[in-house]
Amino acid sequence: MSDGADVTRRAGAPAAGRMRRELPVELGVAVVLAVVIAFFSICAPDFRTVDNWGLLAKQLAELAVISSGMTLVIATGGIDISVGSVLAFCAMTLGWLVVHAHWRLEAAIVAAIVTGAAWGLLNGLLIAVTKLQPIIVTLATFAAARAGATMFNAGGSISDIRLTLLNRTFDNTDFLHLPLLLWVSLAALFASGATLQWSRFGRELLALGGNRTAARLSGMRTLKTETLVYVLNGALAGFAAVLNTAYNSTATPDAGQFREMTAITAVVLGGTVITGGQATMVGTGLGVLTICALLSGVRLMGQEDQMAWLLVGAALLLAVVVQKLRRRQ
Amino acid sequence: MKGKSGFSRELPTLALVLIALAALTAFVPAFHGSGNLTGVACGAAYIGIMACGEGMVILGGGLDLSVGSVLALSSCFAAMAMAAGLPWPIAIVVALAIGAAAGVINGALITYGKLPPILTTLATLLIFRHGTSVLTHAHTYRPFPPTFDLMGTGWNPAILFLGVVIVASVVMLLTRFGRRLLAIGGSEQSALLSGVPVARVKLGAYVASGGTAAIAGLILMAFNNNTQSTIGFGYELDAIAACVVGGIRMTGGDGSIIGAALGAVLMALLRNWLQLTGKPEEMYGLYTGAIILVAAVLEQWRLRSLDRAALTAGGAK
Repeated sequence: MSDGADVTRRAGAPAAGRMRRELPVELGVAVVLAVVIAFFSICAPDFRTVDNWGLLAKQLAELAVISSGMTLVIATGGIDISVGSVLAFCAMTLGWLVVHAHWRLEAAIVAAIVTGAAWGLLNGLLIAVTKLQPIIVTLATFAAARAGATMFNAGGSISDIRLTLLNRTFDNTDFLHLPLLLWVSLAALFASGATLQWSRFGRELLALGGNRTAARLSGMRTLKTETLVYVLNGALAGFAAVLNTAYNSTATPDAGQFREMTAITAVVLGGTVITGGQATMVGTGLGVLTICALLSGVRLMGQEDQMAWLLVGAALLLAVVVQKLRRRQ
Repeated sequence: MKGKSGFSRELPTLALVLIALAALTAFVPAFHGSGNLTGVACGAAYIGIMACGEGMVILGGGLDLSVGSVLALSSCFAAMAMAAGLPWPIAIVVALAIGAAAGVINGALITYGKLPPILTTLATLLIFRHGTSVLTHAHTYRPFPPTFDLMGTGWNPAILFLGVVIVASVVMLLTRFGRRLLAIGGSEQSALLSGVPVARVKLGAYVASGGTAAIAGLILMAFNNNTQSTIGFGYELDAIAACVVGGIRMTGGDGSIIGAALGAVLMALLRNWLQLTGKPEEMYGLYTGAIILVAAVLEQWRLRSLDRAALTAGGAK
């Protein structure tokens, strides 16, 4: 993925033993977020209301869950563009099990997460064992899982009173005066962040992304680690499918379209390096918030969503440029 | 490395195309219908033409995710030009210029800005697609002059496809640009050290990719006799899949334009088979996914055996 020229620069720069104190990676995204919030607070009066922030807190849950997994994958230098499709497949699995197979809701939720993990296992094994590029493998599962999702109900969505029940549980429950969905996203981000920062698995992920050969030569079981990170990411996509179904009260095969792009944008915007080896979960959280705030603000100003996506694209480009400039220093 | 293997790289894809053709002719009577054949040809043409440009980028070690969005951007600009009363040849020039300009933006960011191709073109995918939508206010442009629509009529898309494949193949096989691009895809550093103007050559590949996306957009809008900002949504994946199926190595340096074109034909045949046999078209994704994986695994094996052969040959010497 990275080119040869990059390697020389990294080797040439005094990488280790840098004395000068560095600014935190998350500073960039924090500034962007502050600008976005300030702009919309002034230009769209509805933006700064408690109601809007309450809505925002719920809306970002799905993206936060997906992005926390994506951060782990990108930390290894990989990428998973199948998550949006896997999300749709899991949502349809959940809907089908509840409505047509009459499973209990709790059991179906577990099954949805396991289904996501199974897609992740397929991705992970293909990537780790056959040494195919992650982008090709997940491109294939991206196409396959979306096709699979449409086959549950001949392209239609599944809605039912029991899914509305799911909606009531997730969408309208507060915990300590804050929406349950906000706690869910914070928990996902914190758990993934803690894994990355403090666990051996997390350090192995970063080692894999930093230098694959060195990681293998130093006795790490790279095959297991690499497979596992895709399994984890798939399971999180399955969990995001539960949130998506709860939020819409419907399981639809169109769920999660373009979610992989959004998640990658949030992760890179947050300061995680796309070639791996360096990741920040705080940055990812801020990136998610930035994107959701942009979408909400643009909508409140009466513009089309397209305008927001245009801005997201521009923000991504800006983030990539800033990341490059930082590394060149 | 390249060339020594001769034609073997494209053989599996060619064999698959022939098998698919034979099977469709033998078992699906509706396949012969002249309307159907030209439809398949058009489907193969716009994906195949995009795959030619995408293939050049991938051969040079890059990736262009924005082709579907460039297709929409350039086709909507052409439509706007015609709606403004300009003659259709000018509209074609406008589309090609916009496609090339989009390629310059991608290429400049990636080569001179030294940004990662996946992320850069992901960003321009969003910007071009949604920029088109904001510019056109989701308006559908139609109809176009009948002479313009000729581009998408009958066998004309197939003829254009053939033309693009020939030009792109000649560029890759016979020109210095093509050899340099392959060298860069093989090892960018070696190419740089041996004096290849890496940035300029890579930029050229992205311009070719933008240009072919514009041609594909023109054919598609002529075929539909309308265009809007959602045209070509997701086609980048089809173009990349055609390259993978056609045996182009995703990390660059190995593969051919003819392979990518054959890959596009194979996928168009597959889609047509699903349509004609009344299978849900959503299944297409499942088959595409499977074909991509199988092609990628086979390619991996082929490369490994080639490497092994090279190793033993080197040892003997």
